[in-house]
Amino acid sequence: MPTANTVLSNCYTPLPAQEKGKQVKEKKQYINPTSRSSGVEKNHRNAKSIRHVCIDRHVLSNSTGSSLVELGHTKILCSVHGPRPFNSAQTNDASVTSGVLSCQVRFAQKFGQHSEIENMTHAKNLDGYSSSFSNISSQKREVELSSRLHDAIAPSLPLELLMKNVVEVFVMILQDDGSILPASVVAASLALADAGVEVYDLVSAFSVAVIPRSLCVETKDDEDNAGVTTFDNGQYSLLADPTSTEILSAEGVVTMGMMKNWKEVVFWYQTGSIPPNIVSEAGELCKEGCTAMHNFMRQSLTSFPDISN
Amino acid sequence: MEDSLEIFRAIDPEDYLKKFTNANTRPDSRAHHATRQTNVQTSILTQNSYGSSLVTIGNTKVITAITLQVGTPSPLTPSHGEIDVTVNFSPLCGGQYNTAGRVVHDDYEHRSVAANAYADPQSLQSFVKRTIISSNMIDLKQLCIFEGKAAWKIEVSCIVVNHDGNVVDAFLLGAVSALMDLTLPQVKMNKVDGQEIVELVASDEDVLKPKNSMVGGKKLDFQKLVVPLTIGFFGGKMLVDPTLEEESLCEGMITVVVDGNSLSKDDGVLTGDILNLSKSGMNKCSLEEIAACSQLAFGRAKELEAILKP
Repeated sequence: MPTANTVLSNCYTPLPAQEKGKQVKEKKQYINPTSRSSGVEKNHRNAKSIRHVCIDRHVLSNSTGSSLVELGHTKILCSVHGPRPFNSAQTNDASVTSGVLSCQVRFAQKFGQHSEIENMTHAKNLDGYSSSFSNISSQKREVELSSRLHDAIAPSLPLELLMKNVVEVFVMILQDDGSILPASVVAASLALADAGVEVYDLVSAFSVAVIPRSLCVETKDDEDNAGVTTFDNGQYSLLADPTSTEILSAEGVVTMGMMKNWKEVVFWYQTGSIPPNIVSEAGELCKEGCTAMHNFMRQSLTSFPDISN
Repeated sequence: MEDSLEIFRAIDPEDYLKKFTNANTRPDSRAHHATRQTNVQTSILTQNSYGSSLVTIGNTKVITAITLQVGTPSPLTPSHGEIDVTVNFSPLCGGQYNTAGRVVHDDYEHRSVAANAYADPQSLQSFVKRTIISSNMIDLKQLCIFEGKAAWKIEVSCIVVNHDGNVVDAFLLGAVSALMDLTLPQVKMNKVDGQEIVELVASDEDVLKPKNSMVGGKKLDFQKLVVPLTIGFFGGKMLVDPTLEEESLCEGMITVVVDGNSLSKDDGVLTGDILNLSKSGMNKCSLEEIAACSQLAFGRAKELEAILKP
């Protein structure tokens, strides 16, 4: 522990700034499934609903295609460059004749991730938070997110048509408040479509968190409670589009990506141990979420973009 | 016809620009002394940062957010806090940058010396930080939490979201507007296990509340209103607020930073304090030209006063 003597010229020895009662507070917080944050003040949502969604495309003039996706406080910018010819750094393999999709995900430096969350130690999944708080862990998370994003997007691209060209997808997470993986997939897919890259279909993705019943508190007087009882299976509650607090309390998270018009699942990622019947229920909820996201994406594509940007 | 113009532009960008400047106009039909449409939007990121802004100058967009740290001040300045600035480029701002923010595919290979200095992230970062600190726009004593024991370190991070020239102005305006948006949370000192710890006083448990509307937070006082203006020199002409295309061809650049609070009319001529003036590049320019530049900067300060001040 640094003491007050260890000071540099006018630099700081970081002191721990802590929220009140942090030491005793359990990391797993109680979640109220009937009154969750929606990203808009005074507007609470229930277990099945999505946060306030904002989807826009063609927001950056220097990129071939770009998109902005907001799910409540989760804010993501995506840009697509290309298709353009390989350069030697990307591949030296002359035998590659098809196209290459390169996906990179980065957190905005310093403010992309929640600073306190970097200290969280118990997390276990991608949309949760990795186990140590060094800078390396955030890099590892970026690398993993990048490869997951690639997995989710690649099935929607006919890469053989791009012959020796590379499409570069870059995702910048401006603000992380849970569900960043599905939001990145949505942003990347939309930006690819905005760039005019040929795709089979838009990939929409959605996350569902599985919360143990023991961590749920319920408001009895809430009339919208009906939505919760549907998922009442004794042990677990399902929460659509979880925020970062909800993910930290979750037993597991299921993320699914779909090409809705083809009625095909292109991506499935599950963390935590969840009983099979709950998994299939979560899958159903994901499917509904994907359909909703797909509609938002289609709306944004068919509406005429603001050319002045 | 359209195509042949584009080809001309690609093959001989310098001649292309000259054709415009000789006719006293510019490729985007601006007058030489005109800046692009400038907009400032604050509080765009409220979750992890305590103040944020989006600055738009034409097609150039910069997002700035402020994060806070608590530290022990140095014994020499026990009641002073600290400000740090970082700037980041990414592939978002254009295809020429890679994920580490370095220029890889350069469409503007024939960049002049001046333009190079204005494209290097590290020198930009140093310039922005130095300008903000040396301008004394904020009394660093405001960042004191407990004299000699704890003070705030303000970390200003700027990311370029779209690069279309003149990012210096966008960085400075972004940093200034984010600092104006900044609310320092209420804190108290506490002793835990014999160690003194700074605690945030949580206003209530409502997670919905954006951080910068925190109850009891403190806004900073500003002694100065920092307003920058960058002017490029091309073929003996001054191009105010150059775009990326113009910037890469300019022989010289000058950035004038003025104090918008000090403006006064003297014999019908706007004057005020100059906080920073830096000229770079290979061209020579006369004192009259520099005076003209600062005159333009005062005009810019007058124009931006309404946008920056809440």
